[in-house]
Amino acid sequence: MRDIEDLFKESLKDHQLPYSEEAWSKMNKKLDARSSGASNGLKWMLGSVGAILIVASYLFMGSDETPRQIQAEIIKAEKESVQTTKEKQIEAIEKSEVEVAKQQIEEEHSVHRFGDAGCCDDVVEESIIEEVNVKSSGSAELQQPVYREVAIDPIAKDEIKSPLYFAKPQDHCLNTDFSYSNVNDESIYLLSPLDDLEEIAPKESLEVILDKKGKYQIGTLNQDQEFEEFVSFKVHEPKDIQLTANDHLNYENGLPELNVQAFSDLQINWILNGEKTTKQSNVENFYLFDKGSYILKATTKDINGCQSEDQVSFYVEKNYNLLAVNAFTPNSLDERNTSFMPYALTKRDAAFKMIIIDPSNGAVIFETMNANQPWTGINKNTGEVVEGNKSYVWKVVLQNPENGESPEYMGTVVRL
Amino acid sequence: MENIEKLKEIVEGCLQNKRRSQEALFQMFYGKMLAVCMRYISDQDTAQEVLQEGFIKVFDKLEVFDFKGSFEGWVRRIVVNTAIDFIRKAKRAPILKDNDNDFKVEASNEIEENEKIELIELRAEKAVEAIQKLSPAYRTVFNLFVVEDYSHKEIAEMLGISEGTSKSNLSKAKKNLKQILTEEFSNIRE
Repeated sequence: MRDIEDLFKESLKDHQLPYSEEAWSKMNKKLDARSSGASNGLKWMLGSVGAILIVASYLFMGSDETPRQIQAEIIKAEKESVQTTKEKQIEAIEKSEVEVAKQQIEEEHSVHRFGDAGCCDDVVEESIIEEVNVKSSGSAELQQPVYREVAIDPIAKDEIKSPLYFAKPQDHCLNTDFSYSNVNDESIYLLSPLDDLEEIAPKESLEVILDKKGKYQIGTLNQDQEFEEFVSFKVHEPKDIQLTANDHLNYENGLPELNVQAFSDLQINWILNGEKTTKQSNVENFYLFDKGSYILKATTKDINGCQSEDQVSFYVEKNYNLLAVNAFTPNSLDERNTSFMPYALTKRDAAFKMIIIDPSNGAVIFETMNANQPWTGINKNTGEVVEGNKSYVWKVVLQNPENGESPEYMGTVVRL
Repeated sequence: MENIEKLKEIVEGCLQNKRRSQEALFQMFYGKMLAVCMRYISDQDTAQEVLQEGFIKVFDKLEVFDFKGSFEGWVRRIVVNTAIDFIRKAKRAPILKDNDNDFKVEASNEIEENEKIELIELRAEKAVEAIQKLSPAYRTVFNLFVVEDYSHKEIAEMLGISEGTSKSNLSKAKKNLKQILTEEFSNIRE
């Protein structure tokens, strides 16, 4: 079952009917009729000059040949003079020229009438040049002019069989873009590894995505419509890479670590939130200090230069703040609660300085650089335990923070 | 993609009113554009005449083409418009508004059913033949919407009908085409 719209669309895409010389002949007549109806000053002038030249040359030659005969001779000479593979093409042009010439001769006995036939100006001028050639230098030179012009005619270009030129493409990776230009005057073809044939029209470019692995060939079709290879290239499938990540952060070392693992036997490049990192091992830990979304990507490049990648995303729910507790009580029976020291500092081997500030007067009431010397609630200025049920501010400065980590942390802690 | 350089050369010649360049342009697009005309006008001689009119318009308007878009697309639009003008003028029947029923949009499930057919491929000649069997109103909307990719809004403006009529005509065109093709198909099988 197919959709009617698609069926017709596909069927009628690029549909065309064969060209017929007769169609142009009719069109030509229509254009003649139109332009003979519309005369303008320039056309009149050109036409008049042309007519005068023809009449003048006719008189100059002093021949009893009629213009019709001269014209016929020129065309005959042209036909004999050149042998090309484009005979059909040329004949078509000649045919139209004959028609134009006939019309011109019919009209030329009156200069004014001739001038009205403004449509044929360029053709008329060519004919005059031809006639002058005939008379001044004989038939030897006759071989050149008309055909030279035919050869540079835009239609005629297509007909010339010239040597084919193919650029050799480099090997590609699967699912990459590929572009190839056909500089030739005839169609060439791209043959995929699955034998799909794609035409590249003359002077056009093909742009495709290479979605099949294997050998792609570029060439032409021979007379039997069989493909003939000229150049080829390979499409490589990149080696696969897969990533896995833990579903939670690991704080074992006092740091917010995400453990990720890449499965690939190639060297890995790790990219965190679009930024390339220096990490290159298969198993890596990333410290995710701030709240928010993270995307971790690992890429590899194989010997063919083909890239492969995989990524994982992870959401961190809160900012890292040295895993500090928010209360302590010097009188607690549980030893862990009797003093204050951010937990991370007891696990991390990091040089730091911590101070405790009394927010009521801004005084620093404790300071330490040793994780084994926590604040036990004593104000160093008075030597006494600080007032209970009150918040105190703590501030930690790290000497050598981790990559991407803030060097300063702050928080409050209540002495119960 | 068109060969821009070659085309520019031809267009340049046409602008100078050179008959050979006009012939080159005519030859370049004749086959495709006649196929376009034949989808709107079933009589080949008439289609040829309309095509000639179209080419005359193309030659006349060449000055305004700026080579920014597709030249073929531009020629095609002119030819399509010429064909539509012709149909409009012909007035053999109330062509673009077939009858009152056309204004009624059919139930959506029915439309969907109409849109599928048991064919996997269709030869262009058969497709044209089938399209030519449609009434001019259905044929025109079908061609504009399906083949030329105009929207219903654009079609409505071009033909001076409502968007609803355009949709309805399209739906009926598809229904009729299905019937035409199905009959054709069963004849072949017999």
